Amino acid sequence: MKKLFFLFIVLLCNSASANSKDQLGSWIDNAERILRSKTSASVLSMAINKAEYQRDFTLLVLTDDRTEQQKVMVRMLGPALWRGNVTLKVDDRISFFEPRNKRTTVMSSSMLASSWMGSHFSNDDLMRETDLATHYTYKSAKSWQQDNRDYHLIELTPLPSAPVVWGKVMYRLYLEEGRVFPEQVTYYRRNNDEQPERTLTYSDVKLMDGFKVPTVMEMRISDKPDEYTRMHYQKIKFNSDLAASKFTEQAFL
Amino acid sequence: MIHKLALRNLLRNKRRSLLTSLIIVFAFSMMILFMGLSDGGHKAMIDIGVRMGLGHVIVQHPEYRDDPALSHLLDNPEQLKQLLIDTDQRLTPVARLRSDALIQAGRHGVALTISGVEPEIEAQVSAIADKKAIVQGQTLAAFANSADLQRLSGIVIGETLAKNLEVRIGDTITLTVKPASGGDLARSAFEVAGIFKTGLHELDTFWAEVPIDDLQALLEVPNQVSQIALYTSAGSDNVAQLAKALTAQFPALDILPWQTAAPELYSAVTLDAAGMYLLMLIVYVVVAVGILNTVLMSTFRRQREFSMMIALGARASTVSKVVLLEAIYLSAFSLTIGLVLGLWGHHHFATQGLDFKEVFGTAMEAGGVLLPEKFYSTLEANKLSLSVLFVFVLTILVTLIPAIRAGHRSPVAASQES
Repeated sequence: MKKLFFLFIVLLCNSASANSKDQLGSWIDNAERILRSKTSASVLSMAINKAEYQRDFTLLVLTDDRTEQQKVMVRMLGPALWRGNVTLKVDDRISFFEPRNKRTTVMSSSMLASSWMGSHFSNDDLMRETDLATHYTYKSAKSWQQDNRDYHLIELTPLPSAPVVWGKVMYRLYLEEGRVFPEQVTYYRRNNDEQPERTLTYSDVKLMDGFKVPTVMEMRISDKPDEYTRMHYQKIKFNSDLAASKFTEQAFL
Repeated sequence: MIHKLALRNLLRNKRRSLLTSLIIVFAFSMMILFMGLSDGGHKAMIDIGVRMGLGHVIVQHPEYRDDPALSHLLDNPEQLKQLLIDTDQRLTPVARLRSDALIQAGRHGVALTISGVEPEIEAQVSAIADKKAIVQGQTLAAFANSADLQRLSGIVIGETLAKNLEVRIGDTITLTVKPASGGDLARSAFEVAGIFKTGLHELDTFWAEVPIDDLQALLEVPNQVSQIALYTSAGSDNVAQLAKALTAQFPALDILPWQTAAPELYSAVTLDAAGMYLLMLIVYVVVAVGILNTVLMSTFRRQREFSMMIALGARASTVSKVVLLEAIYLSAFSLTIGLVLGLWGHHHFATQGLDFKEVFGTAMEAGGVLLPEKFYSTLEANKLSLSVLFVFVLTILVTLIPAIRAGHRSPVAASQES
């Protein structure tokens, strides 16, 4: 009887830990999708501050995750010099459109490393959207209560043969009213590094289209403390029925 | 009689003979030395170049040279390798697969050419995979042997690349390539097994090697390779004939000697050799003028002597012969001494080698190839005998006119002069 009880406890623990792992994974997945929902249409400004230049863009971003294929379309609304530039991503295929010479470029591997529109995000970051959900194992590093929110710090370690470039990712999120909000994601080069290489921060939670969402996203590189890329969402509309034709190269013009 | 005369004449004015002979001895021995060192340097350049990811002969798909795409690969490399060995036992074939790739670590990414190699065979023939080139970690072959099954496949990268990516031994990096199916980009993770340093900027910054099986899987080209590089134990000398012979055997393949496969190396070597020949020509012309000068002077100074000979009944041709013989004896004597001195110097550099770093302070790069720190003098017998002959004939040629003129002066006019 004692043995059986022990077995029961072990089984319970196992399933509980498995459960919590799934739980952590789904939290991260939900947090990553908070600004996308099923579909989203948003207008945001992107401020890039680098030692070499400062840039401000206004972007229209459409996303559609209703089918297996994840689709993202980013169209530049301003400044005038850049108006009409489009980045289209359907799964892992990324293409760029330049309106002045009406050229579409499909991204090749050699372009991955370069930065996306001069920001602190690389083209590769666009492609690796789903990395956190697929290539890592999760471990809860810390949980605490603050301002009536359940905070969790989750440590992500890449799976043994995962083709990812980070050795460790620390994901800080909180639960409020049954929804998951991302707050800070820090990327470490190696698993045992003290200093993160870059930090992505979500802030300024506001009500948009009936949902509370963080409206400011900021990427900072640890090596260059004065530089940042900040995305500020001005308008978001969730779950509208976006036509599939919007996510094709024909829609570039 | 005339031989005796010629020798006596030479010995009569020892200082003049000695000076003339010194010019020849010095010039000739120096030329032998330079010829040996420059040929040795070229040989070293070729040997190193061939070992830096090249080969004595490159075998590839006929269209690969114009369009190195994944659709122009060689099928069944193992079978082809066996066929190649069957034609010539001295060949060591190595298969290589090359592709454009992006190598990433953290937020750094570098676009480069990734080379899939057979670690075991490559270590024997290539200077990149060689243990001597590895400054940190181990070679791919050693890594593969020591690896437990859980580990990722190894990758060996250049020193500057490692610095740019900020990676060290044991770190994980990812490779992104466009596979043959042409679809989405394919990625795979590798563990940094070793960091090499060749001294060549190109290689140290933009070169990485992984096991060929992993790259084949990633590129979706099972059992296909970009090229088979052939190394022959016969050395780099008769590579062109070898390539020709192989082309006759395998007409469907593009078979290139290194001269065609790496034209920049070839032209660097030929240009350097051409410069050397030009220099030799100039030096020999100067030597010839020097000899001409002394012979002219000596015949002028000895007009009375010649006229006396003719007055005593010597024939014009006898006088000419004596002068000519003097030159022949002088040059033969000087050439022998020059040859001995030159060969002695050559022997020194052929056994001890010339330490480039010691002489010039830095290592030297030529035609994309780093010259080895030490290289050894080599001499080809036919080249050597050709230059001996050249100097000898040159001496006789420049002496010919003064010699003929010496015999054809009227003795009366000659004796009245001076």
